[in-house]
Order: sequence, then C-alpha cells, then structure tokens
Amino acid sequence: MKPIKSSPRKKTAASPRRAKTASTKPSSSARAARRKTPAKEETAEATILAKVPAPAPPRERTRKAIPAIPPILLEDDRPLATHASGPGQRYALGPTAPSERLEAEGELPESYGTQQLLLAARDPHWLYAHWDLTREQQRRYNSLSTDGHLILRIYANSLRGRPAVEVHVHPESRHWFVYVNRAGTRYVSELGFYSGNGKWKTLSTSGATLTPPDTVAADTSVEFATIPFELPLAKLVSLVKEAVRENVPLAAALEELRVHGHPELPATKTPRSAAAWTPAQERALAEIISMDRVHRVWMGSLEITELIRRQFAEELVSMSAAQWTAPTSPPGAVGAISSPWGAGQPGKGFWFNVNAELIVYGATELTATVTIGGRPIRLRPDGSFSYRFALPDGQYELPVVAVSADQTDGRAAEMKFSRETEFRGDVGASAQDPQLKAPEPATL
Amino acid sequence: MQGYLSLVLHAHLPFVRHPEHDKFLEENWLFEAITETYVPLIRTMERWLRDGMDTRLTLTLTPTLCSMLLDPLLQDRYVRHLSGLIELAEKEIHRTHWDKPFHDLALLYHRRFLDVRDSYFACGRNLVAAFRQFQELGKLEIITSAATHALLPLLANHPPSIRAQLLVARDHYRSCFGRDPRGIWLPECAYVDGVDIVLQEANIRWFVTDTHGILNARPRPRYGVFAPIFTPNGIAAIGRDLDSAKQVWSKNEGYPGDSRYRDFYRDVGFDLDFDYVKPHLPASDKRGFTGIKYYRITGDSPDKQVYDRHAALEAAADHAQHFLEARMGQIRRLAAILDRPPLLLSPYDAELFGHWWYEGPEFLDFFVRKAYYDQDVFTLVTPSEYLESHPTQQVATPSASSWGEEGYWRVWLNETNEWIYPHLQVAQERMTELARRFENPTPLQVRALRQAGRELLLAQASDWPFILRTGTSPEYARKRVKDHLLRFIALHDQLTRASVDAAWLGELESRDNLFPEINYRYWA
Repeated sequence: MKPIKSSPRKKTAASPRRAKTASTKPSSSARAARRKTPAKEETAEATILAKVPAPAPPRERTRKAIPAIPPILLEDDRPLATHASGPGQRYALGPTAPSERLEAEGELPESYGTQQLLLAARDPHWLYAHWDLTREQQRRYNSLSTDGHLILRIYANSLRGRPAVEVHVHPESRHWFVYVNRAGTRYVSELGFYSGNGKWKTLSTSGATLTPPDTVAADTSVEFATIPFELPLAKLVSLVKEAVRENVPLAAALEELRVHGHPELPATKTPRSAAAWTPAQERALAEIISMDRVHRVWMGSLEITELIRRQFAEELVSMSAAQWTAPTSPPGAVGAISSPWGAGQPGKGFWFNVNAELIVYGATELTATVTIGGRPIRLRPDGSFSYRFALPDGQYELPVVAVSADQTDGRAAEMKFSRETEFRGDVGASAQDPQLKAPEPATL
Repeated sequence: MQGYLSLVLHAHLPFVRHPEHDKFLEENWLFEAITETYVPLIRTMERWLRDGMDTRLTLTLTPTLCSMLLDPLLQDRYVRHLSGLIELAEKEIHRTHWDKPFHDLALLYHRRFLDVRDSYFACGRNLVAAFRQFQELGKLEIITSAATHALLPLLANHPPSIRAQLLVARDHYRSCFGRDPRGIWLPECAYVDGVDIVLQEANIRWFVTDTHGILNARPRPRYGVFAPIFTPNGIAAIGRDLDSAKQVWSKNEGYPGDSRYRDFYRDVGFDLDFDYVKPHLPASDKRGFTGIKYYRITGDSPDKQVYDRHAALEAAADHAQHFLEARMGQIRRLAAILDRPPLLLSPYDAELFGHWWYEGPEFLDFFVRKAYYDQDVFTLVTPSEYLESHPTQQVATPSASSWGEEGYWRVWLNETNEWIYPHLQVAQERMTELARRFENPTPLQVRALRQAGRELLLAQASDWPFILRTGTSPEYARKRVKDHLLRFIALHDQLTRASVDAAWLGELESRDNLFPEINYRYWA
C-alpha cells in the first residue's frame, strides 16, 4: 500500500540493544586484564611488605583489582523468562473470547490437486511458477522421473523449439522463481520429467505471461488522438463501432473517423500528423528525464514511509525485547524502564552515568481516592498504586492522602526527601524518563 | 502561465473492522489517519474556501477506506479513541506543569485534539460527505481505486477478477459521491495490459503510473512524463514526476527528515510510566504509539531535543518555498523545450502529510497558498480539468509497472507471500463458476453469492502480501488471508455441495460488511 524503494538501512535512533553494552560473558581480554593487574599490585605490595617487618601474615587481597562486574550487566537485553502475566503476543485480543463459529477452523488446503501450472511474470526478468500437486501426486511423479524430481521448462513465445530455461526443481517444492533473459517477452511453461526411457513427459502446461519491458521503446513514431472528455466512452465506442472495421482500438478508430469527418466528433485543433520535433528538443528533454535517472533514484533511498515502517517494526521488536518487566507490574515495582535511548555513547572512552528516581507506592481500598502532592492518582484494580518522580538534588515534601469513597474517613502520610550529590570525576546523568518530574508539592 | 501542476493525495487503508473484539490494535491505523491526516486536510481546505481561494487538489479515497469512514461502529470507536487522547492530553497538561516546553506542547496537543473533535462532529462524523462537498464545489477531484486495493497485474490471468475489482469500486464510488469516478488510482500504480479495457467499460478516463510506466511506453512518448498518453483504448495515463517526488519522499534529501520536525518514534506511549499511559495505548497490554510526541528529529543520535513547534512551522514554510521555486524552475525549463505546456503530476500517500510527517499539512497549506498567490508560472489543476481542456494526446501503451520497490511486483510476490496466489487462483476460478452457475438463485443463495464475492475481494487485498513482506504485522496479515479464503471455501462448498448455513452467513455479513450491494455477476 505504500511505495517502497530498496534502501540501505539507516537508523534514526540507536537500537536499544546495540546502545547498551551487550556481551554475554567477559571477554578473554578483560579476564586477562584482571589477571595482569592484580599480579602487578601483588608485586608492588610484596616489595613494600618486604621492607616492613610483618608480624602478621600478608593481608589477603582480592584477586581482582577492578570491581567485579555484576553478571546481570553482562547479560543480553532479553527478558530472562517469558512473562507470567500479559499475553506477550503482537495482537491484542480483547478479554471476550472471539466467536468460535467464525474463527478460522483448520488450515488452508495444502493443495487442491488440480495439477494446474500457474505462471506469472513478476518483473522484467523474473517469473513465478506454481504447480498444484498433492504430496502423493508429487511423490508419484518424482518416482517416475529418472532425476527423482520434476522439471520446469520455460519457453519464449510458444511451446515449440527448445526451452529458454530448464529448471530442475526440488522434489518437495511446489513453486519456483525463474530468471529469464528477455524483458518484454511472452513466456509459457511446462512441468514434466524425463522418464526411464529418456522421453519427456508433460504433466501440465501453463498459460502465457508477459515480462514487462525494461527499456525505452525503439519505436519513436508518434500518433495523436483527440478524445473529447465530456463524451462518455461508451458513446465514442458506439460511434466507431458502426463506422470503423473491427478490432481497431478506440483511439485509433476515433482518428480514422475524424479524418473522414464525422458530425458528432468535434474537430481537433492538433493536426493528425505530429508537429515537428527536433533532435535538440529530444536531447534537452532527455537531460531532464530519462530511465537512467529513474534507475539512480531506485538505487538511492527514496521512500520515507517504507523506511519509517521498516525501522519502526525493527524498533518495536528491539524495544519490546528490551523491556525488563511484565506490563502488569506488582505494586511497588518500577512501572517500566525509562526510554531505551541515551544509555551512553559507546566508544567515547571510560564513562559513567548515574541518576536517581523516587517511587511512591502503596495500597488502599479500591474505592478510595488517593492524591500525591494534591494530584489524584489512579488506583490499579486491586487498590494498589505507584508513582514515579525524578529526583534531582533538593529537598522535597510530599503529602500522600487517601480518602474513603464516602469521604467520611481518610489517612495521610507527609513524606520528606532530600538528595544531595557530590561528583568525583566526570559523571553524567543516566537518561531518565523525561516525563518524570521532581516532587514539588508547592507547585503541583 | 507556462504549465500545470497536479497534486494527488492517495488515502487508503485496508478494511479492518473487528466487532468481535471490544478494542482491536489494527483499527488504530484508521483512528491515527483520521486524527492526523484526514481531518487536518479537511480543515485546511475549509480555510482555503473561507479565504476565497479557487484551489485544486486531487484525492483518492479508496473503497475500503470509505467503507470504514462510513461505518457506525468504527465511528463510535473513533470518538472513543479521540476522547481518550483528549483525556491523555489533559493529564499531560497537569503533569508537565513545571516544565514549560513540555507544558506548551501538551496544551498544543490538547487544543489540536479538541479541534479535530469539533470538526469531526461538525461533519456529522461523516468524512466522506465532507470531502464530497469540496468536490461539489469544484475544488477537489475525488478519485477511486480498486475495490480492495488488489494488485491488478497479479490478477491478469483471470480477467473477471480485474473486472470485479474495478466495477465494484465504481459502484461503491457512485453510492458515496453521487456521480461516476472520472479518474482512478490503480493500486500501487500497478498497470498491466487488460486493465484499460475495463476502465473503458467503467468510463474511467485517467489513471496514474510511475515514471517508467510512461517512459517505457510503446511507442516512445515524445513528451516524456510531462504530458499524458492515451492508451489505445482511449484512457489517459499520467506518469509520476520524479523531481517533485524525490524532494518529499527521499530519506536523505527529502523535507520530512529535517531535524526541526517532530520525531515519530519518541511517543509518550513508550516514554511514560506504563500504568499511566496504559488506558491510552492502542493495545492495552503493551506499549505503542499514542500520538503525543514531544521531541524533534534533532539528528542521528538518540539524544532528542524538545520539539519546538514554532521552529518546525518555520521549517515547513521554508520547505514550501523551496518546493515552489523548484517547481517553477522545472516548469520554466520544460516549457522552453516542449511545444505545449507541461503537466507535472505529484502524487503522495495522504498519510505522509500529518501522520508520518507531522508538519505535512502545514507544508501543504503553505505551498498551495504560495502557488496560488505568489506566482504565475504554473496553475494547480486536477487531471480531469487538464484533459478537458487538452483532449489531444499521443497514443501509446504504458509499460506494465508499479511504484513499488524496484518498479514491478516483487514486493507482492516473493518468498514471504507467494503462498497466497495459488489459493487465490483457485478461488477466483471458483467464483466465476459460481457467478455463472445460478440462473435463478434464491434470496439466500444471492446473499451467499454476494458474501463469497466479498470474501474473495478481501482475500485479494494487496495490503496483506505487502505486510508479509515488510514484516510489520505478519501474523495479522496471514490470519486475514486465511480467514477470508476459508470463508470463501466454505461458502463455495455450501453453494455447490451442501446447503447455505443462514445463521453463519448472517454472522459473516455482519462482520465483513463492506459493499452491501455488491454485484457478484461481475465475475461471470
């Protein structure tokens, strides 16, 4: 439904899986590094200790000088297990079971057993062939064939003479894409096999198909026709039918009529023979538009929507794979990860990002109203709730209030938080859900 | 006035309607398009009218899209969807209270959604009628497409199928717009010999092909792609202009990739707390697009900056100016070479303007206004208008071609989707058998024959193999093809060997309910 052109893949946003460091186990060089450094440190320490009388035995040092990377960070970004809750399927089927009667029962037949051979041109140089054989039919014919499989013959124009292409098809295959040399050519095909005595046996012949041309026409003759737009074509067809011999298509027939004058055809302004057209004009036009340009445009990446769609599909796949938690999270858990982008640019040298969020969560009666900092919060069906805030440095006061449905009873919790960070070295802020706000009840 | 420009917007969606589920993910395609493309387009055209502009635009509204726009169930669901969006915008206004850039955007979305809702109700929830009005005022040419957007070249070996796809569409157009369609957007601009004779029967006078459909025509068209050609059967074929396409579509050079424009992916449906956005997500169990997005494209890195609406509109105005100057230059250059005023045909998917490219509707508005007021090199026309005043054209046979990837039918016939065709082949032949078999069908048989036609049409939609190829919703597409084929097979069975199950047929009719007056004899 949308036009597409072939294109080199180019991502507008880094795939979340690629953005995060994803290696399933420490590389051997990392392991080697860890082994090397402790050895150096031990030597240095030994030297120091040697100078100092050491009544106590040497303090045991960890083997690794670099802090161990928790294995979880080295795991691939796929959820560890399939989700216990949530369908996890691409298509949302509603809570009500779909009407059974209309849901597709069974599968489409593997074959209709007609033995028909279908041939269709797919583009100037490719044909598609399909033969409708059941498995048994196929097995039987395969066994009769000296090659053990069937053969597809493609003929140009008609079934006479030598085939343009002879394809040995896979014994279990029921279709094939065949390359043909000639664009703009009529092809027919035959399915068969060579039997024991070397004779060809035809199982089926197809109808004809036409490969589209892939070059401009050699014929540069020009004929014009004048077709009055306001007259229905049926009327024009009936006009010509009486007057002109059979099988002349409408446009040409109209011009024949016009030449001989016809009362109902308005006279045309353009003379029937074409106005002069110079080679210079032809060249000038070719500079503006030619099949060369069309091909170059095909080679380039032309169509935005298709690219968006393909990228979008890929993004979705990698995004959903990067989800850590099931969509229906238990109370208190992080609702979802923040945006998968912005995990840091690999290849920039050593880097470290850190950030903090505040989650306020709880539960109350299903029918109660809860506000956090004055803002009403939606409860989950079980009466639980959670809400996330960004937590930049600062001091915060956050009243959390629950009021019963009939407003006769209520409870409140006045929470106070503060964050104060001191950085050592260049530390970035980990990307955080940009929609999170700091808890500032005064301005809520 | 040295030449003509015809802007064609192609609006199409496959028939997706699932009354059996309360909410269905793929129905969102329609809701998004209405909110971001169709209603904004109507509002833009209303403003042109209000300002007394005598503009011209051409718009395809495919039969499946019209069916959905007119369907009461989908209209209800759209209103529900839009209300949800408005509510989300209100929540967002609240929660972004401290953060001015986001707060301003939340207010913007809220206002825009309210405007959409106002317009939707002002149209009586009937967008088809709204577009129809513009046609009746002479400002818009509405054209049709094949009934279920089937790729006609792949039906070429069964001419009744081509006939049914085109004539059912023609009939449906008549019921929507009260007149006959004069032009058609062949699905994917896919043309093959055998199509134009049916167009002649339907009195459809012109269609669009991709550039090479004209350049490779036989004999060679003298005027390249800058004038229509008549097929031997008298239908005008107009080729897509490459330059105007490239400037908008091209990923590298095209306008929509500008860093100031809104980024499509950074949707709050992915960024915000899951429980918070859950009621507004297209599928309630996983993240998806809501339509509220706060970031601009910015660049290639994943760090996106906040969307600046003002800067984005400036970009749209700049691009509209650039596009205008490019078209003027192009037409001047062509007019100097050709011995007649050139015609540029610039077709685009309607959903590009607003859905994929958020500022698209504003770009279109700016461009049309500039073209109308600020220059006199070219005039905006509809193809029908052009053909009315220029009835003399060269006769040539267009090349079989499409605007799909690589120019032919590879997208719709490859290893991911070839399995569909043998089934369609058999079903098509059976449908012809059925259409010819019943001389005097009973009313129940007529219903079954019509439904068989509907199921076959739905199975033939090019959207399913397209989706299988691009891999965006393959399970859904596979299921659709399978369901429609199985239903057809069952109906065929009941009509030929058993007896029609009236209750089951009734359910089918209520679900796959498009083309109520379908004429199954088109397959005969």
